[in-house]
Amino acid sequence: MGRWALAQSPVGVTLQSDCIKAPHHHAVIIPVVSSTGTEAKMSLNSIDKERIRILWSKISKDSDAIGAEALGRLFAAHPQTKTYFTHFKDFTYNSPQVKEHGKLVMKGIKQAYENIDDMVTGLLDLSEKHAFTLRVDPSNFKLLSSCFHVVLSKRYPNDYTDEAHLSFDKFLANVALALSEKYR
Amino acid sequence: MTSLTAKDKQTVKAFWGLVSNHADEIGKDALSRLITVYPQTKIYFSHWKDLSPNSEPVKKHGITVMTAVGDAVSKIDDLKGGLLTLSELHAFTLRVDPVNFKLLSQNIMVVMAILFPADFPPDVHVAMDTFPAALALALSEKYR
Repeated sequence: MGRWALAQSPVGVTLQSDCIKAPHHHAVIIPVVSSTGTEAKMSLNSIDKERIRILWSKISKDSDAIGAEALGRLFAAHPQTKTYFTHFKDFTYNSPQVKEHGKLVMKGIKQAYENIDDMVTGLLDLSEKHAFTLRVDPSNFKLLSSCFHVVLSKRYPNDYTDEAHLSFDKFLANVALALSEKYR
Repeated sequence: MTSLTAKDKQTVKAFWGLVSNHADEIGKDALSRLITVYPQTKIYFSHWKDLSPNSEPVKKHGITVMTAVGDAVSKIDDLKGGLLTLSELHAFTLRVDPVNFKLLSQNIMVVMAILFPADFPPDVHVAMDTFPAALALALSEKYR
């Protein structure tokens, strides 16, 4: 992931003299990315897609359970997200309502996976739903993404390598972006 | 965050046509605001002798930034492709955390609204918010 610190400018770029003298990141080798990575959304390359394909083949059979756990964690770790579900009686991951909703969420994730080459088009209906009907603030997509990371790394410690984590985080960031498409 | 519609692009181009003569001033004001309102951004400029608003380095850098913004307007139909080298620059050399793109975008918008109050109704505001967001996205492309 990423390249080592450059001693010279990338090909084709003329650096202003004041840009080269940035001393603040000497110790940092990899590019700086915000913790959830979803403010900066980078496109999925073929390596990402391959890793996601491999990961998906391992996790898809447990998708219902993963969805329920991720949601359960979301409500526990970020209680403000419960405001979107005032009709739920029980917010724990094994309650019937959370389980059912977890299934629904994973159905959407599957839709995104199947449309991985053009998520914006493939998730248009879901984007409309989230924008006009559900009216979920897009900042919450990040929160659910982080819950997925926790659940997946717990369940699949050997498969959820750094690289798989990276690619899956990019995937979820792109899902969030596609879901935000119809907001304005 | 949404893709730019044809109408957005039209609005951006029209608004840019209006303000581009003042690009240098916008750049200087926006950067000055950025380092005043969000002092943590100063870390990227610790090599400047003078980090006060409206100083020479700030003025000069404001021009650099707004020239790039103007260039992005002309590449509005393919920002990702058009800004690849700038993205590499920001990712590997400048190493700016992408959260800061949002902060600068906001400041550019504030300055534009202050300088051109009559020309900044809500629909221009939307386009001039969506465009920097798309720009920031394109700049983030090479980070990982």
